[in-house]
Amino acid sequence: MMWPRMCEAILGLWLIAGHWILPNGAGPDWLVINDMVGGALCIAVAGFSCLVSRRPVNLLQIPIGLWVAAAAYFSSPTPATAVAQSDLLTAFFLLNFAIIPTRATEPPARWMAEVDGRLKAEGGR
Amino acid sequence: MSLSLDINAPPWKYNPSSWSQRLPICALAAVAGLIATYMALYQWRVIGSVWDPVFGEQTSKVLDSDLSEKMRHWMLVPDAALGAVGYFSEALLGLAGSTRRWQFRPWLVILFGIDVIPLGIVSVILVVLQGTVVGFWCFPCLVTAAISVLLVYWAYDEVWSSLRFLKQVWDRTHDRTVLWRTFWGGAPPEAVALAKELG
Repeated sequence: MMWPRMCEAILGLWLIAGHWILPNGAGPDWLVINDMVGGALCIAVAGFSCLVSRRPVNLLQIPIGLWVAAAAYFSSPTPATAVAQSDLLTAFFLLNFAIIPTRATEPPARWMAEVDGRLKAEGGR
Repeated sequence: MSLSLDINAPPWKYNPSSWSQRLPICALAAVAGLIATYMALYQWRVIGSVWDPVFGEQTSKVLDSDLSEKMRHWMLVPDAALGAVGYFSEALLGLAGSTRRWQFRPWLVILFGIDVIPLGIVSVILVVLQGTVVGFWCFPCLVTAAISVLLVYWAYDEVWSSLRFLKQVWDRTHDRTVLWRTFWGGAPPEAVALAKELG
């Protein structure tokens, strides 16, 4: 089950699409490009994590989430624009998903080997 | 001998990481998240009023209070929206991991505890501030605070089992590397031997 990565891909899509749905008001124009790049990276990392599901590639979402949050927080006028608020909340969710392993409900690989009894079968490793 | 995925976690006579233990926590956290989202929708003025069967108009006064506005000024998003993120985060962390995660992924269980316990404390503080600083009461806020406290009560057993397992690994090895690897879900032989004693 790779549901954390699917959710990250949806969040990436939302980062890209949000600008057409929510008003940016007095927010800076560069935030549009920033969010599109962030969203695309988010989708790419989620896809790559699924390909190498035993490796912690998903942790790459953490710097992306931090960057999206920081850009929204420090560039937003007061009161915050809808896009900035959306970016902040999306980044918080992204950070949450990022720490969840790709094979979310399975034991880690080394413990999984013990569960399967594979180590014994292979004579130890 | 291979390890079972569903065993009792000492000192309890049940498995605190089993789905029957975790799913209710996730469901309750999701309910609190939905209530917080409802209040956030009012703070965003997506909805014009907020329903409160007990305190009536007082809820909107709490959500529109100076304290709430100040928090929004600092954090850019309404406090109820941040609360919703916190509750949904609890639900997510509750869903992650196997039915033996208290032993296989101590970091995840301890992070879950770190998420649940401070959120419970913050909820109680916000409820106290409602009565003392704002001077009004908010029934949905009280419900979410009650859920937070209940979640702390429900979640602590799993966190305790994880901490107990890590202490057992430390007592047996006195090796920081082994403890570190066990914490992050590695399976050092010492931790595996300990786990196998349980089945």
